[in-house]
Amino acid sequence: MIAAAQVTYTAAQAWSDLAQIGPIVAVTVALLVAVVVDLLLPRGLRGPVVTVIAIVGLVSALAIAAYRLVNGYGGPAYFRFVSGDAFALFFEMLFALIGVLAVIVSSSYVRRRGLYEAELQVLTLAAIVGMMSLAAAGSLVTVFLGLELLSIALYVSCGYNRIELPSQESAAKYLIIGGFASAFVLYGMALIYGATGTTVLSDIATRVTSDSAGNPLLLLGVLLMGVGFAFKVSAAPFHMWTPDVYQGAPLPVTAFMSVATKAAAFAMILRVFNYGLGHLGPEWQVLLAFTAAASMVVGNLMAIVQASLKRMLAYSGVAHAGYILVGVLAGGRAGVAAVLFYLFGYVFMNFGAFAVVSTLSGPAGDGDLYEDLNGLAYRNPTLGVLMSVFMLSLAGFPPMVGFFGKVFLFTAGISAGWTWLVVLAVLTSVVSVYYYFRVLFHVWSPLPEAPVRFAFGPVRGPVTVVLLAGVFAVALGPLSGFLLQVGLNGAAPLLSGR
Amino acid sequence: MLIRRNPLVMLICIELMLNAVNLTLVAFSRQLNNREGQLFALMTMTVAAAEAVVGLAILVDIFRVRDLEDVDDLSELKG
Repeated sequence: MIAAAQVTYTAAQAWSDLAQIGPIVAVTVALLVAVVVDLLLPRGLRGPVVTVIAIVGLVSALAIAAYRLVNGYGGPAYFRFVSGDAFALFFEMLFALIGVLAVIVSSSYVRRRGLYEAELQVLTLAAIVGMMSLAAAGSLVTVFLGLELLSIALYVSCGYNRIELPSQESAAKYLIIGGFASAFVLYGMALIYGATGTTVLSDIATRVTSDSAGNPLLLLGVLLMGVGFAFKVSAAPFHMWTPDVYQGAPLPVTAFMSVATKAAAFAMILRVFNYGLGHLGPEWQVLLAFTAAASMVVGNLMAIVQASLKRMLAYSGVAHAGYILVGVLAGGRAGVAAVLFYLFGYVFMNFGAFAVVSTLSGPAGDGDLYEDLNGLAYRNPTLGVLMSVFMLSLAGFPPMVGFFGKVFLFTAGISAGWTWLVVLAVLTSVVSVYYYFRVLFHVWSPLPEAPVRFAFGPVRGPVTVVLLAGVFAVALGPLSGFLLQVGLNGAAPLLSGR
Repeated sequence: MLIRRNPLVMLICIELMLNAVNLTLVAFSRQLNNREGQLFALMTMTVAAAEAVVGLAILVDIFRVRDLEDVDDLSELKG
């Protein structure tokens, strides 16, 4: 018979718990309001109104998270199943920012492609709720729920262009492989629960010591979770789904999931591995080091031969997952802060690049070939210059944010003793310059004589987003000291008690 | 799941994997005399249901446009 523990839960406690998940509550409320409004309004008004509601919800989540971060209000909530600490707040702000950018880009994209607008925004909000829960997770149960909430919302988003075969195929592939990966993660969690007798991460952190390394349940659990997590961050050799899914999904969805899912999955890895299973470092580090090395090599080499920009960016994403894993492996204050810094910068440069490509789509389809970029710098100088900024930043040229991100990651890697991995990372990022510069070559090539496949439609929204992302990508370079401080602040909750 | 090629059967296999997890969780919960495992199993069941719904919806959407008996037919995207 299982004994019932006496639990008291007062109203004051309920309010304080609710405040700890304030940003998540804000987005959830916006999501629910948007669903109801979508049912009540006449057809023509639905899309714009839902978009405005989504933006309001995300901006208020951003404000709440910033307010709580500045005032240092973070702490555990709901019997430590959730934590509103600085780490969670950092990611909540990041997801709210990406959300605003994604909602603006989608709104313009769906109109040009003749798709429904409201549902896509609602799905984006649902995915953001999942990502925020993942970042704020204090227990394996919460980690799993957040992971599934974000994945299921994204499966549907990928198949959003229902009548087109590529979009359907992308959704089906993502669903089957994502479900497979989730089952792996879940079985790993079940085994870790069996080995430690708890799902709460802070309890796991105290119960799993370096003596536990001989426990087969625990090791198998770590292995299964590691495989599942590698699927989710699209790290090689579990990256096969990435290019197909990215290519088939509607462009704003690809842009959103390429950055947001990656950030959320790394938040999950940091929480579970660096915090919960920190004492088993030597065991999971072997696994991740292999994955990191494979990702950097496979991602960078495969990106060279792609003809489609979406596929190239997908493989470049695989390579970047490898770089970020170096920071995860380094761990400690410097490593975790470098990961947070890199994710923040990566979000803007990669999303910006996808947003530029999304402006090339019209009713006929997406213009995602290199040739579609020809003469972009003369057709639309703003987009041309900013696309160059994003590519230089992804390639890691100073003074862009990508350069500082790599510097922080690699110095953290070297000081933690991962010299061979850092050497490999530097060598492979030299290779990456080739395919990023190929984009620049097309952008700055003279205007083609034949009419371009995709003329510009009404793209004011995306241009604003591209401008914003560009400003972030450039300005965060000189401001890197400040952002690194924010990252260090966010890393602190994972390292307390070490 | 790895040897099956029919997408519907693959979906069923994912459900089977999730059910295996549920059994594991409940067994551990009983063995450890701890209720968190049962809570976890309930959550898993809910999520599995949601995933099945979305999965079937996506597959129905594909079947409407074309006949799909084998996942290898999904080869629009390759590079």
